[in-house]
Amino acid sequence: MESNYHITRAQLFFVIVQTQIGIGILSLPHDLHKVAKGDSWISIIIAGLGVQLSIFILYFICKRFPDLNFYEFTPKIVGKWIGGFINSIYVIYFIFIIGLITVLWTSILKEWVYYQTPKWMFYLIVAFILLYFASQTLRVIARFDMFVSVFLVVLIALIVYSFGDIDFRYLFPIGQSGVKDIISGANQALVAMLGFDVLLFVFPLVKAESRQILKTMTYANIFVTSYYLFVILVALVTFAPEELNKIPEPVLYMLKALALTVIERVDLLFLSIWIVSVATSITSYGYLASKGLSYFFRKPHNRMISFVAVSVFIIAFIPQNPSHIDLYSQIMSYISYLYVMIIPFTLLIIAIIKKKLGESSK
Amino acid sequence: MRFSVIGTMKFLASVNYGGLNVKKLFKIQKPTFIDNNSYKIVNQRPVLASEHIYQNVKFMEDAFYHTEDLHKKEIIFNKKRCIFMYLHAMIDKKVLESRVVKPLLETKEGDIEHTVSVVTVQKVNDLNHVKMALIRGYSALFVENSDTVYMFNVPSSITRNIEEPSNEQVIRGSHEGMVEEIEKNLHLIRKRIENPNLVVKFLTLGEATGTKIAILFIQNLTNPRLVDQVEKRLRAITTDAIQTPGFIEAYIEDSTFSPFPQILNTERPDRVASMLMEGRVALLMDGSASALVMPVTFFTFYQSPDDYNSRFYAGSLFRLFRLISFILAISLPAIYIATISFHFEVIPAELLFTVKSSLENVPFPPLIEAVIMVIILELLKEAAVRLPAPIAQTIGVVGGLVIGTAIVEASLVSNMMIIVIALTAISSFIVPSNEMSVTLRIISFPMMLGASILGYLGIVFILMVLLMHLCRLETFGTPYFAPFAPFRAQDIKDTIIRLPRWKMNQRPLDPHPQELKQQSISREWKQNGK
Repeated sequence: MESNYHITRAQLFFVIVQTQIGIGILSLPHDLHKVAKGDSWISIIIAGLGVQLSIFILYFICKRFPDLNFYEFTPKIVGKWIGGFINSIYVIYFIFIIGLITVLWTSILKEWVYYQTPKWMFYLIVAFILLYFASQTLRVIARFDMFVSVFLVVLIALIVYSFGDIDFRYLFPIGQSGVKDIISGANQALVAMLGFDVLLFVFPLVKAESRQILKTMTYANIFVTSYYLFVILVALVTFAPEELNKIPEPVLYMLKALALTVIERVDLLFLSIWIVSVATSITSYGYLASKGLSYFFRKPHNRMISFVAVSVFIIAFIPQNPSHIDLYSQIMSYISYLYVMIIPFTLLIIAIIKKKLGESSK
Repeated sequence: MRFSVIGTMKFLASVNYGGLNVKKLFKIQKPTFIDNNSYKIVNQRPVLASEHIYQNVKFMEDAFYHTEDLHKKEIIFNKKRCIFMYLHAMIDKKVLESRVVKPLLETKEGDIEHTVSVVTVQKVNDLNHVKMALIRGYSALFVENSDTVYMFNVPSSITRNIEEPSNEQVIRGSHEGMVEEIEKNLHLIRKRIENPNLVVKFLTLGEATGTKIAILFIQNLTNPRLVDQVEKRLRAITTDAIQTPGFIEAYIEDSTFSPFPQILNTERPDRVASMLMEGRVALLMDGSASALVMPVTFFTFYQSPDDYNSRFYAGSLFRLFRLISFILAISLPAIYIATISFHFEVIPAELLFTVKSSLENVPFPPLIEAVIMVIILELLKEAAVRLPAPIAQTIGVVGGLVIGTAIVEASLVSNMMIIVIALTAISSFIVPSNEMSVTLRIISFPMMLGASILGYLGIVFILMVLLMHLCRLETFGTPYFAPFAPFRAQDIKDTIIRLPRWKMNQRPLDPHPQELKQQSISREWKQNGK
């Protein structure tokens, strides 16, 4: 029987997909439409291409150190102190990402279903998810992610079922909003696409050749991009542009119109089920954050997770109103360039210059 | 344990130093029983029998603390005094009489071994060995001026007949169930797997009870690491008493605090045989009619031998029903609570009036209602199990008529809730395994609590935690929720559906058998177009 920590390629695929798809999708068409109008779908393709570029960077740096994860190879490239610093800002970044997911999820839930339930109730749920889910080994997390991917199909099925009167004219003319807006739309989409950076940390745990891993990552990216593309296209042709600017969660509105014979409000049911996709994203980031902390304190990651849970619980109380949440989201989307592209790219250049290579076993 | 000097010398005496007979050197003739003041069976050093017959008899009497069911019988054979000793309750007196005593009395002279007509005759000279054998139903024969003790295996066997186990009945198929005797159970299993590769390993557990355990597996099929693991865990048990398989289960299972049973308890020999053929390990225990099978997955608890005897559609349909019943049993009351206390909008308008009118006069929140009903149900069930059959019927009347209708008329519980709880109860009884059905009813409590706090979100949250727990759970190194987590498409053939037998060319992977293939194409004639 094989080692207890490795995951297969299929499991990697679902870990990446589940980390990427989360709370963002519910409001994605609205967020994009604000900027890129009827060309939102071009933005998402561009964002997908950007992610692919980033995946290449991540892949090349991981390939140089096939047996080490990011936390382990940064000190090798830039030395103990700067490496430690980079690792610590990554941990902080992950904690803030979890904070952002928590805040967004809570605000949607409070708006749609639980008007009176206090916020800390949801924060407690997130803390519990962190404590229990993120303290498992990657392999268990991967098994879970793979199983719950059924819900991705459920969403597509519901959306297809809810096809009402659609109007393809909303898409035309193509290119109506100009290059600048389309690019800035792609920037908006990036927050929803985040999650592929998990590769940096799980690369040595995947039981496959490195080229195969790149292939899997590409498939995952294609899957997520087309998933988003589908949702956005449906939203664009279903709602008029004016409507789409007013409704913050178009996906839920689509489902709200749907009435099955025994369930009148599918959106409420769906919103509850979607906690699973949120949980998978939180779990992945929680795992990464606690893993990072475990290198600092030299303790197993499941003992560091309580620190992450407490931090997230506190951070989530900081943004008080929707404009704060918007600001938080904006800041995170700009900062994430630093984390998923600039830092890995700089490290890659330094590694190439210094000719640093880890021992290869793949 | 205390050792006297004599004990040590006796030990020395039993060793033969290069042809020199030490026993004669030391001239130790008198075996004395040394009380070690412990009620446990400890491995005592051999005590050599003396040539003085009465000393041996005295030793045995001392060793059994003069218990009154240790009987003695004296006869003369070869013109020597011979004394039988046996535990009255453990031997078959008729067999002893006709096969041993009678031939000896009739021939009067000759070789003891060849005179008696019993299969197992042992010649020993270690009195501690004799002591242990007497407990197991042997009869010992001490002969005057001889330090050899003859042991005859004449056990009495009092077992009930082979009957169909009442909690695992099937409509079609074998109606044999196991009994409380390990030999008969082994017979039932060997009869189903007539193969020399079926290996049995015996083990004694419980330092005071000395319970006999048999480990069964199929050599060259079962993963040897699995067998080692099972044996290692069994050997680690240091308790003084093993009463039921439940004890063993608790000692060797991986996660005792998980709500899910991780070892299959079955009384059906056909079930054990088919599990063995999948490369799993079975444990039999003397004194218990149920076998333990490990490792098993979640879906094992949803299989029944009936599935394989019915047609493919029926078998698959019932599998699906059972799994739906799993979901219903754990979540139906919770969904009801969540719907009426959080999400009234979800119910279609026509249904809304019915639901609302039944709730009108009930003063309690739905959670309290549900808990009341579940507790009443559990009380009724528990009472019906413990009571003798004629009185148990009364419980049915009390439960069904009095509580069912009266509690609604008194407006303590709504009509709807009665329906929901009744459905839940039926669903939980559908599971073929009793442990799993209890697990389901336990899980439904946190689900109801979650539903009453956070509505649907609470339900999904608890379900999600449960799923994570299932993904995490491993038994004997194999994932519990296989073949779904980790996912293996081919192994679904015998889980939520049951494909025709000829489709199952490979065994399930979860116990990691040494050979996956169990058949090649068995319907070749069909492909030839004939």
